[in-house]
Amino acid sequence: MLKYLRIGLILLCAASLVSGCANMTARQKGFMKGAAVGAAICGGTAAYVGHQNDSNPDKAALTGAIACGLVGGTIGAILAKEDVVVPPEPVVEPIPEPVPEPEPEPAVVEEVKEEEVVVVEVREKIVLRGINFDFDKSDIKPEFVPVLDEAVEILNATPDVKVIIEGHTDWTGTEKYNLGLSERRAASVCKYLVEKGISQNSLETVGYGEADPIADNHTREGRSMNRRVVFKILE
Amino acid sequence: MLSVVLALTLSGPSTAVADPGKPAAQKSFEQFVNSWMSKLDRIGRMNILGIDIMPRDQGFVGRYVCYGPECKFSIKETGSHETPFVGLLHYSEKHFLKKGETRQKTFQCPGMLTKKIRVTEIFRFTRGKWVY
Repeated sequence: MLKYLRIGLILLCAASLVSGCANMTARQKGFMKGAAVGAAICGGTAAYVGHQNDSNPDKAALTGAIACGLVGGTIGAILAKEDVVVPPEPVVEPIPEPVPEPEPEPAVVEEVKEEEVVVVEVREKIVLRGINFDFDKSDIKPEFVPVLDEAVEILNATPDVKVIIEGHTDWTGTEKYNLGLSERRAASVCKYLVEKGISQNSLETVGYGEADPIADNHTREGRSMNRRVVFKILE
Repeated sequence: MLSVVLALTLSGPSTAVADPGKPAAQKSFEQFVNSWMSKLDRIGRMNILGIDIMPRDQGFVGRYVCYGPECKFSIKETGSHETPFVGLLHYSEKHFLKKGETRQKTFQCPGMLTKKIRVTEIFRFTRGKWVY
């Protein structure tokens, strides 16, 4: 019995060595692997059967190994994938990272004196406080009206300006919900202003949700400060 | 009798009058403004400490915002039953820039004022208190 195992192992090792050649194609390797496995299995089996039948086990092993080696090799070659020729990695000259155009510094940055500060883009902000809509609501409550009317008065005093109405929330609730809520509230305030005679064309609404806090959202006071409607009056 | 005296003692002077009259509202707004500007001052100091310093042009920059401390305020009667007064508070939102060769130097550099925006906050006096 040991003899047959030895024969099988020798055949398997030989076939494995051959199949491991580095410069073979995939199809050749497939053939060799198939042949090795076929030869090992069939050779061993044939030798064992030959011994059981009192025939010459060596001859049976050799015949079985050759026959099955050919069959296994053919199957292995068919199953093997064609070689994919991978071209060597081209040596590419490192392309320098594109240097972003430096953001133009405001002209007022260098050695600026407070008196010389030029207000850029946003001329003024009006922050409406206490516009505390009920949960999930955006309707204007009577107690908000004087605050909105005061804002209207300020806007009327500065005609021909573009105004961005921003809605801001605290971080209570989901980000998506807060974004939608702040948009609805900004739109609600905008509608009130238009009803009071402010030109729709001069108004634009933006909901920032919880994205632009001014105070710490971890405290109740901070959250109250973050809930606000802001008018940005542009140049 | 005792319970009535106790109730009067515990309730104390009423601070939540719907319309206390303009002088009282003016005084309470002054106190409110002091407290509000202190909050903004704290936020400004936190902004300096928490400044986000980014690499830029072989160096580093960081920007932050502070508020005030100078301010002006006034109140207006509205004629509204729910909100008899509104309070107006004016101050500046100041944008600063820090620059330096290293993060440490940038952090230590005094901020340069780059932008100043006039801010008007409008508060309402509802149910005897300033609401924000």
